[in-house]
Amino acid sequence: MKPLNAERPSPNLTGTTPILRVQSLTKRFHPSLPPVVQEVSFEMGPSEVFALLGPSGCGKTTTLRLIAGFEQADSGQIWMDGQNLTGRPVEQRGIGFVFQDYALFPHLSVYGNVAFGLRQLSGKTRQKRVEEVLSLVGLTVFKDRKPGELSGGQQQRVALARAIAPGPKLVLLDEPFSSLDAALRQSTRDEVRALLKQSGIGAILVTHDQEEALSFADRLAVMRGGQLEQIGTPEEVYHHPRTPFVAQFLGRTNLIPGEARGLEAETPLGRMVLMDEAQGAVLLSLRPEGLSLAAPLGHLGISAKQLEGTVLSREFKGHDLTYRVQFGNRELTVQESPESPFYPGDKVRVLVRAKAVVVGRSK
Amino acid sequence: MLPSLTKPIPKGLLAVALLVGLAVMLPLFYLVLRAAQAEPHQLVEIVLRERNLQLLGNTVALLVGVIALSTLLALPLAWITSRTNLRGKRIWTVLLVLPLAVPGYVGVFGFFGATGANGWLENLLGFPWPRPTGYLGALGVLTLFTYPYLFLNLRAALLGLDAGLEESARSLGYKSYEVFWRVVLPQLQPALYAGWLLIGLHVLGDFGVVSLVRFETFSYAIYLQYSASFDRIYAAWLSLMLILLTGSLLLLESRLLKNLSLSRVGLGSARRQNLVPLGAWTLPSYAWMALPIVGALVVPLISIVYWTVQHPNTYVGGLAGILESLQNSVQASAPAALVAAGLALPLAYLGVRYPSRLSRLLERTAYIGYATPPLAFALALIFFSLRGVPFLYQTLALLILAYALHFLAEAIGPIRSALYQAPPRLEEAARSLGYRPLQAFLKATFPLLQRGVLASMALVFLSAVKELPLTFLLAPVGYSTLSTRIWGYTSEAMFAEAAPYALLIVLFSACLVGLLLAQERR
Repeated sequence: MKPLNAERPSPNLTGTTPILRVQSLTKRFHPSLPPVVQEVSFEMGPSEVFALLGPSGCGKTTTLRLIAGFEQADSGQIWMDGQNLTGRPVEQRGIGFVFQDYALFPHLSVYGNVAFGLRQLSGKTRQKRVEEVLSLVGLTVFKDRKPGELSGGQQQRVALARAIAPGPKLVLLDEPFSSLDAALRQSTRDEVRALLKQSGIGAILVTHDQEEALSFADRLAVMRGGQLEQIGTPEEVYHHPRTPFVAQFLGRTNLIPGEARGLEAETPLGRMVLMDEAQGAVLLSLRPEGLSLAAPLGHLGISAKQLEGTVLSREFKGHDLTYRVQFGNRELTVQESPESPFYPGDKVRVLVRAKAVVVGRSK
Repeated sequence: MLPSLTKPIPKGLLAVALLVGLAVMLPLFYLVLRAAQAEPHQLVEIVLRERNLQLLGNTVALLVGVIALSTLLALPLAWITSRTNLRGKRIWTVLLVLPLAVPGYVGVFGFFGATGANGWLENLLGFPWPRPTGYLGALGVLTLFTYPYLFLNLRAALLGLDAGLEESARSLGYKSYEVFWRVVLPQLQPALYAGWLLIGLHVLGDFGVVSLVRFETFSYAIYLQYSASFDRIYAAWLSLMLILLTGSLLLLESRLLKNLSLSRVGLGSARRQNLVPLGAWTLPSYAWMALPIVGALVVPLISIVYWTVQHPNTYVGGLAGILESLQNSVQASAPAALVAAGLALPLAYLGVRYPSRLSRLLERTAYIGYATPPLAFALALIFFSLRGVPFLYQTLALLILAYALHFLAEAIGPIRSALYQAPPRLEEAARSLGYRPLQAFLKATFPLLQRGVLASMALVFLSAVKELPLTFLLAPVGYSTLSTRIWGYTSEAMFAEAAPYALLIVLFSACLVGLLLAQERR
């Protein structure tokens, strides 16, 4: 399996017909509790890899199970390839599912597991298909083993092989990498992505790991409290978070209040340039790499005390360096190059080097 | 898990579960119907009969006596086999549990064959040993063959106790016997209640022992009513009173358990306890353990061997009879095992996969059949079949149904634990690969349940072979099984004739124990 790096992300779906369209899905497990999934809508292009990202308990797995048909939505619709799947039983949806714990049949061999979904094929064709899929995931030599005799990574690949063997247009992956150890996770992730791209199968990945979602998906949706907060390409969502939650969930950020006037805003850090126009009180997000530190100007006789902070901690990570800086009554996180010279207790100036993103506006 | 709260239960499953519930409840309804046929003046006479009070007194006295005596016996045994440096704890534990497998009526056969004129004790000692009869006889025999219920529960509880609690008490200045009273014993409460309940159900349901030692409890009185005068209305009333008594026992137990909260508080895992050296108590400990082993295992075995060897002629002629009743036992028990497992499967599935108040209630109905004293249940089934389904009366089918419903609770256990080991994701995986719900269950889950189902069937089969009161009342005319033959011969003091049947039952029981131990080890 060689990774394919050539593909370009499709930022939106204009021009292509979606293979999956999810419309205002809502699901409650108990009448007295708030809905677990609330008005969730999104679309997916053919062979697109989509990720649902959110903290545990945000409803992302339930959304996945609604699409698969394991749970029935209270309202909303699911369309695939122009067909309404909403009330259809699981077995008639033709959607593959890879479970977090793989759910391999312990009484069947690897071959038996992969062949399980191929019973409509006759003996010869089925055998051919199983072998084809097994060689795709590189497990041909293990075909007679029982799942219990395989390593975690191998089980993971059997689960994927079993799900894609019947040739679905879409597979759903429910935190499939979370039970692998860190070293294996990265490589398995790359392999799975390459395999999906190679066979042109669309996929929805559910994960709480933002790094995984950013690197795996063509597009992703950030979910919180049963609702989608933002949908977009990884770059969009990372650089243009629309809510404070999205900004904080996709990596570290500094949230700073300010008073906007068009493309500029006055903030405790001084005047900032904004990504988008805004008016009035706003909440701004600045990634740590958008800030930098400099020595105070005190020796030049210029009074700029209000723009000075104190270094609280210094975390050296080799390829870069992270400072926590006390600035007025707030703490800032600043990412610097590894040779940056400041230590805890030093007085520093905080410089803004990037455009700030408006993540909250007062109405 | 919350999601399952609203998951709709498939209709097919619900139908089977409701059918089982109906099959258990309907006969009891007929029992009430029958009892209600009494004329008002007759009713007063029946219910307020002085004899009822006497039966109640006897039954409760036996119940309390057996519970007290088995606690006295089982508590030290459980402690010795769990908390001391006794060697060969596992072997001792198995030996101490074994009496559970010997049916009470075989126990009585063992004692009767040993005592009195012609008993082997007379041969050994030169004078006849008194026969255990009446209250003391019933008390002794029932204690010897039911204490393991309590022993097992207490032992498990003692092994599960957190040593840290006892050590804290010691460090706060309590002596070791004070620690036992104030720390250990309170924590054993749930185990005590569970064991007492099982023993209580057994004593209330017992027919074999009380009838052979001729101690008049409700069960024995029902039998007398049925076999001699057969005043059906009075028999129905006696059954209802017995069921009421059983119900009160169950209620009492749940009340006692409700007020308990004994889960571990705090973080960290419980530590293993240090073993107490027996020291000077070694010999008394061995003697204490030998007491029930001799009484419940050695005595019956010697009786069986003695009477089989001493009088071979009496049963050689009866070989055909032995084979016939063996065949009869199997013929009734094997289909019962099949039916019970077949009914237990949907009930267990419902309980495990659709946990809700309704499914719990439905699963509980299986236990009604188990808790209802067998004589009362048999009588209820007779009334039901006479009025509702006359073509079933006095047929093997009715006996099989009775076995299946009575032992359903035993069948659910192994299937349920097997189900817990088969994650529901497997069926979902099969569904997502194009299988309909039933196919998905058969292809993905059932292969993993096979051992559990087999264990269930074996349990019910072996229990049904040993069963006496249901067989007694419900078997077709002239249909004698191993258990009814032993009871019959023993009550006539024909010990040589009874011995080979007892041998066969003991062999079946040994299989049962082996099976249970194998189950427990997994």
